[in-house]
Amino acid sequence: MSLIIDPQTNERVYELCCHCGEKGGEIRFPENHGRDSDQALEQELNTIYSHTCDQHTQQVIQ
Amino acid sequence: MRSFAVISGENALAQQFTNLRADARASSFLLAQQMLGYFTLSTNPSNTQTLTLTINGTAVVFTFVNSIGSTSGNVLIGASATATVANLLALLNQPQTTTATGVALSAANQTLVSYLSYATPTGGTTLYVMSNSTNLYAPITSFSASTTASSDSWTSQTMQLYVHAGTVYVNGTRVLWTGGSTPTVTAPSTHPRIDVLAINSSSTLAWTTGTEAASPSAPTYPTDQIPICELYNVVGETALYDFDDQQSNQGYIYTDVRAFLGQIANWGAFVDSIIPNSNNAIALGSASKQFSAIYGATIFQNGAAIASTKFGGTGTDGALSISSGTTTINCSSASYLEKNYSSISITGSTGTLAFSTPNTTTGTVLALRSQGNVTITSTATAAINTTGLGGGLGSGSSPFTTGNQNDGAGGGGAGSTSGPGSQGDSLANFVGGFGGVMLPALSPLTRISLPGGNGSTGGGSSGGSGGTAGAGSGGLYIECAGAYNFTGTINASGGNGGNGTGNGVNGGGGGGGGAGGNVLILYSTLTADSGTYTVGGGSGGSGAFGGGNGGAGANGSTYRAINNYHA
Repeated sequence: MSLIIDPQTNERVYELCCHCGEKGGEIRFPENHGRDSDQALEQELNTIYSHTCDQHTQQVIQ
Repeated sequence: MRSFAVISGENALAQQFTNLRADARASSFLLAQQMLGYFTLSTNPSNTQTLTLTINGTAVVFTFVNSIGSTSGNVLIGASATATVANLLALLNQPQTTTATGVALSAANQTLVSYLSYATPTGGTTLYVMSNSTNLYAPITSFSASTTASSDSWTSQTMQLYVHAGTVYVNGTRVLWTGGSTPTVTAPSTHPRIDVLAINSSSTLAWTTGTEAASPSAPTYPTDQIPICELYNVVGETALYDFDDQQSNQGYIYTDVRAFLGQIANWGAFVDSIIPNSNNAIALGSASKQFSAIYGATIFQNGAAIASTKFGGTGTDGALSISSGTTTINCSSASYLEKNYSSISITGSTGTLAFSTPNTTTGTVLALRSQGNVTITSTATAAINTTGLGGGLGSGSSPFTTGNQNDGAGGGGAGSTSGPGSQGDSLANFVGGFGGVMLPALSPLTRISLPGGNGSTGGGSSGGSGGTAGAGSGGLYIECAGAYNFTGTINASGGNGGNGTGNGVNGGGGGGGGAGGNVLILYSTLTADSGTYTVGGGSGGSGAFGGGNGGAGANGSTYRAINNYHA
């Protein structure tokens, strides 16, 4: 999952996406998010969050 | 401010005179300079009264007149003493130019008056006279001054410095210094001494006096003041000069220490981040010099926001929004996991928040804090799923065994906030596992929710294995500083104990059921709380072929209330 910048608000948007690419949500941060850099924020989030879409969630359950 | 830099070694042309003047103007900002004395001209002179500057033995005479005429050195008397002094100052600064208020001096006198500087702070009636001599060019060999103007006077003062006008910020306070003299310096008595001149936030100049010594050092600069210069004083001095060796046995300005960067450090106007030059090396304050208070929207420590006691948390983990699929938070084996969101939204038909990698020994306590609204309207089977995150307190104990019994007794069920777990079934010689203890009831004061315990494994036997233990559910605390809107499902149920296995004659006992988790929710306002909280304990597993059944896990509980306890 990756961190992008919303050009309208300058917010940092971490997109909650399945490995297949389907997006199921997001986490928004203000431009001044308190980490040393956007890269540091993205790395932090990658260690915490994972996401699976409906189809792949069902495959895991089965 | 316009300032053209005059470079060392540059040949200045006549047309660059304005550049030279602008450069000098900039460098005179709070400049300390040798002072010779001052005229007090508070009474407007009368016609033909004079003011005389005797420079290198030549008297340069200025005559105050009612009508300007054409005599060199005439100065028109104005409507007030202030206006007359302004006319005089204009002629002193432009002695080569005849105007309606002053008649140009002779070429020789123009040169003489250029050896001096003149200032009337705030347009007043005190005219200060300063020396422009330096150790590189010192044309003044003698100087005196006088006036015939009634009630006006000349005062020789060589133990003060003159500080030119400038504006500084001292601790965020704007200080407008309009120019003026320093306090009088007292000569040292036995050895040289270095003093420091500084200006404070009240626009007051003051000397910090050093210690006399054969080789003196500058004193510690005063705090909360802007330093201007260091002054080297010698025994018997009667005047203070601009530079070293300018005049033997006299004091002099040792170092120009004007801190221009410090002067413009108006913290109220800072727009950029302030970043130290290295990591973990620069302190803000010290153990003995602490700030009385630090204000900020969010203050971080080692990457995590502090000030965490505020209801709703810090928001440092952003605004969480899940509209479909399952988002999983890795607990990294933490016994306590806190996330500080600015808002939480779990919506749609499948949106789910789940957790992985709990602490298998203690279980995991989850704290979801939100500065804003918490919206959980997802119609998924579980919008939030904390199953399998239990353990620790309330876990059931294992049944008594001797290692090779024919049948196994039942495992103990786990306890939770609603009660202890059930004991597993005992057999003739083997006691079933005891149920886990009851946990403390949820309280809005504690802001924590304990996980339910795990069940225990059923007793094994010669005919088969005991059933697996049911997992307890994690403890969940939601802190909502906005509106709480819950119509979905939170699944915090305990897992069922597994069944024992056997060989048709003998068998193991059933595993104990895990306890239901506990859910504590505090909110500022309530939109809806019509959703489903599933906190039931797991059932005990069945014993096989003579094995005992496992005990059931206790139910968890919920506590939802408006926040009346935490600021």
